[in-house]
Amino acid sequence: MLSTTSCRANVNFREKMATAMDEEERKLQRLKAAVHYTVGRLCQSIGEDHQKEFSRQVIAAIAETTFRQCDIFAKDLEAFARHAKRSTVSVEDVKLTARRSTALSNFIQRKSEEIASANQEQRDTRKKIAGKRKNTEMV
Amino acid sequence: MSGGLPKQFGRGGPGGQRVRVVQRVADNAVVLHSLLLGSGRGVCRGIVAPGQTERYAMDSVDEDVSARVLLQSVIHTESSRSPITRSASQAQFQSPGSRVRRSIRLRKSDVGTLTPQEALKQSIKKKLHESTSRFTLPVPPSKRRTISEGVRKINTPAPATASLLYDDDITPRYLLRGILQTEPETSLLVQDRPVKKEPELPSTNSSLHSNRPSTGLSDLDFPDMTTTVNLSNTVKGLSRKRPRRSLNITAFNRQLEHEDGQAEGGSATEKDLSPLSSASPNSITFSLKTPFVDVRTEKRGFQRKVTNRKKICLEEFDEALQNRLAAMGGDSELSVREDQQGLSETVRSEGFTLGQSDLTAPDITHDIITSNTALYSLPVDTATTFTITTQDKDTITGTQIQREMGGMKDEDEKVMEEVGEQNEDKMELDNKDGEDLAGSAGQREDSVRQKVSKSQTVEAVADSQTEEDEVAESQTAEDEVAESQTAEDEVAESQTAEDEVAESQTAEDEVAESQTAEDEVAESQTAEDEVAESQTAEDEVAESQTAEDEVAESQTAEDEVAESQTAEDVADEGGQVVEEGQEKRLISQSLTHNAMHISRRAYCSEGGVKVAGVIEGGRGYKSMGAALYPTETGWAGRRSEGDTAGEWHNGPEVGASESAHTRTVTLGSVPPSPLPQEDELEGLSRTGTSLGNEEMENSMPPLEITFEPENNAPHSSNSSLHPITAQSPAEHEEDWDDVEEGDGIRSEELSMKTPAFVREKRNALPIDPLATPTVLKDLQPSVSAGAAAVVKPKAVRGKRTGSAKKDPGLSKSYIMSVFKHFAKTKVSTDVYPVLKEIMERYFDRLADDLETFAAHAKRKTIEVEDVELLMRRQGFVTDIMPVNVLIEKYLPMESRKLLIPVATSGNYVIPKPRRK
Repeated sequence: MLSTTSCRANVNFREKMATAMDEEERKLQRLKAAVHYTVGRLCQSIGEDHQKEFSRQVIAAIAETTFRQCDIFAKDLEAFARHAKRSTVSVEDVKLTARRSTALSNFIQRKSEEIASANQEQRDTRKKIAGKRKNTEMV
Repeated sequence: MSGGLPKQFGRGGPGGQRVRVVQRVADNAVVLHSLLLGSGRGVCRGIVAPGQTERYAMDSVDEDVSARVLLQSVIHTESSRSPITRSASQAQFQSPGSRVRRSIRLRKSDVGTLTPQEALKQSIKKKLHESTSRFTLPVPPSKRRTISEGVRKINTPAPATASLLYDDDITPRYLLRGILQTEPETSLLVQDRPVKKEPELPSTNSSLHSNRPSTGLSDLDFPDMTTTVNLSNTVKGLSRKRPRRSLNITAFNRQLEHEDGQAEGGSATEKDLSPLSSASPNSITFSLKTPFVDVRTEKRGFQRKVTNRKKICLEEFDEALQNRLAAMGGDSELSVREDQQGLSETVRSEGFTLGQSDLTAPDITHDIITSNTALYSLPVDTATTFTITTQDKDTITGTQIQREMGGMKDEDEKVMEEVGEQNEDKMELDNKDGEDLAGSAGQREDSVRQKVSKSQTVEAVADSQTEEDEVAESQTAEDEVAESQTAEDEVAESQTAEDEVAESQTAEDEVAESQTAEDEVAESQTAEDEVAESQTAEDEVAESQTAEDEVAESQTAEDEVAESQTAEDVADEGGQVVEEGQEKRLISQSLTHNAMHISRRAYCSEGGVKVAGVIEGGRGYKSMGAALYPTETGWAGRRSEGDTAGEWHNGPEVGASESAHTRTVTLGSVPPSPLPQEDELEGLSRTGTSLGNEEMENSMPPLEITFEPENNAPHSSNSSLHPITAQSPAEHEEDWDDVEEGDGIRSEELSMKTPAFVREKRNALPIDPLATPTVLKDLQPSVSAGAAAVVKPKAVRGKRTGSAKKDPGLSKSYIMSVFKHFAKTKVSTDVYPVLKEIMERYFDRLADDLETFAAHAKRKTIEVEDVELLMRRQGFVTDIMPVNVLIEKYLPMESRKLLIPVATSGNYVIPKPRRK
């Protein structure tokens, strides 16, 4: 009896572990599949523009490379954030990560500025709205 | 070998004395082998020399050995060789008297195929043996001479036999055949004199030994590549060495026997050389020139060795001198020689030392000796001046001159020969002068004047040499090296001669070569003085050798010499000078050898001998000049003269070698130097490439051995290792090659010239700092870790963070050493520019990243965290490889203490944790 129960418990544990692993693995696989799909679409679109086609292997390789690069970027960003004694990855970390690629860094710089400006506008608008609201309230 | 020799002796039983002599020769030969180290031929000669001494003793004790007996003994030795290997030779031993003839017959029969030249040679040899036996028997002194001759003869064969035995089981027939074959060629090339053949035979035997093992009957069998390669080398070395030795002995004997000794000696030397030349075609031409020099050098070596090694009893000396004086009265030189011979018979070394002591004594022999010493002494002074000059400005000139001499020898062998002839003439004059000096100081002055005139002539010769020197100037680079080597050689010589003194001198030499040279001179003077006083030259030398004391003594000696021109002082100085000159000669020889390295074999053999001779001549001239000047200016004058003497040396050395050798022989002062010479020679022989050095060694060591068996014993013991290993010439060569390779790795030049211990010192000093300390020490820990990539950056970092910015460019040697350390393949120097560029970029980025990281952390100071982040980004630090592990893995303990906090007693943490 005990043995059967223990066996059942082990089986259950394994199943749970397997399910957990499966869950982790599935998640990873789904992410990879998503990246692969996205890469495929990008390649298809670019191929159409240039009258070329990408083989499946190339798309798969690009997808894998992208996935791993994202991993590296994520770790770097995490390290940079921790290095700056922050628990949140900020734009500065991203800029630091992309500083080696001038084009990318410039793009990120521009985007970050746009975002900052947009945020500023939003804040301004919010402030205005809030002020209006206050005014209206006051009024 | 050892087993074979006893058997031979046992067989030779009927000819007990002969057999004994042979045994002794064999024993000596073993020692000589050890001494000779490198070249089997040289070993053979060296063996012969000791054997000669023993033989002399035997002859004196047992019987008066006639030339026939000697020849027979030689033949026996040869036959004994064969008996060991073959039974046919045994029969020869049965009848000692007929043994020689039988051996000859056997040779003929064996030779069967031999060329008519060989037959002629054999007949000539027989005739010579008969003549020698006849001459020697009648007069006791002549007997001695004959004995010496026999010894000479025997010596040559004995070495050959020894070499043969060691090398292989070579039947006497083969040896004889080889000798015959080789001899005719050499003799033809060198000279046609019949007398020469005898010396040639041994040399040829040696050559045969080396050659035959490979091919057997063939003359000089180079064709057999496997054995022949080593054999050829050994043969060359042997031939060179042997001829010199044989030349020395033969020359001495001949000179003694024949008043015309010089010419005969020259011929003998030429003959000896011819066999050597036969060994190597290149040497043939050289052999003609060198022989004289060889003889002299050998004589010098003998004298030196004798004085050093053998302790001469005053009583024996006195008795011998009186007897000889009474008998010899007429020909001073002959009497001296006879006296020396007689001494040599009783105690050869003693005889030599007696000769030295005789210098002080007023006998004719003394006069002769003094004259010899005077000649040498003058050259010695010059030699001292050379050393001094070498120390000063002259050192370069002297070395250059010597080197030039070497170069000259190569290029201008003919000129050298001419100069040698002139030098010989001068040497003769010098000898006369020396005699005059012995007679009276005033006469000495006159002789000095004559010498000066001679020196002028020598200078003319020197001018021609100087021209050659100019040619040789191109070799200045080598000369510089050679100078350093010479300095080392000098040190080595001084060390070998006087270990204690040498040690102190070596230290001093390193500090100041000039001082060492002076010290050496002083030592030699002191040593000579002591020798003159007490014939235990070595003991005295050792005593005087307390370096500082010796230096002081030498200075005083120099002062005394300058002040007092008394005959004894002159003689002593001469002896000292001779010693110094010998050392210098050795140095010059080594220098020349160094310069000659490329063209050594042929040139070196001749060049080395020539150089020695030239040096001797130069010394003689120098001594002349010194004698004149010393009283006036003293050392300064000598030194100033030394420069000129250096030039002179070049001229006189070539031709003077003969006279110098004879003189040196007469002079007893020589002995102290021989030991160092042997050491040098050994070093040279170790180098092996320089045949000339080998020859020098051969000539020198054998002399030492023959004269001073006791003294030789230590040498043999020291060198015994080499001989033991070198019993077979091929083995010797191999050993040498190994030694050379080992040395060559460090420094070929040093290995070539300098003794082993000197090399080691030099190697150790420079190599240690260069090799490991800077780069490797830092890198080694990382290297041990095995993660080259990780290590490299770290090692670089430490320095970069610290000093890289200060020194934008790391030293080329450092970068290349690091790069080569991690590179598994050979790195060409072309890599350096690119490597430097990459290094700059790498460190620029490194610094930029660190700066950015510090700024990112809102800091202005780069801290360990920044470096850790950088390493993480570079991949050295990962989740499974923390920083501390890397630190523990690659960084030394000092760095680890700074990086990894460690809790100590009292709950103190070092270093204090900074993190908040």
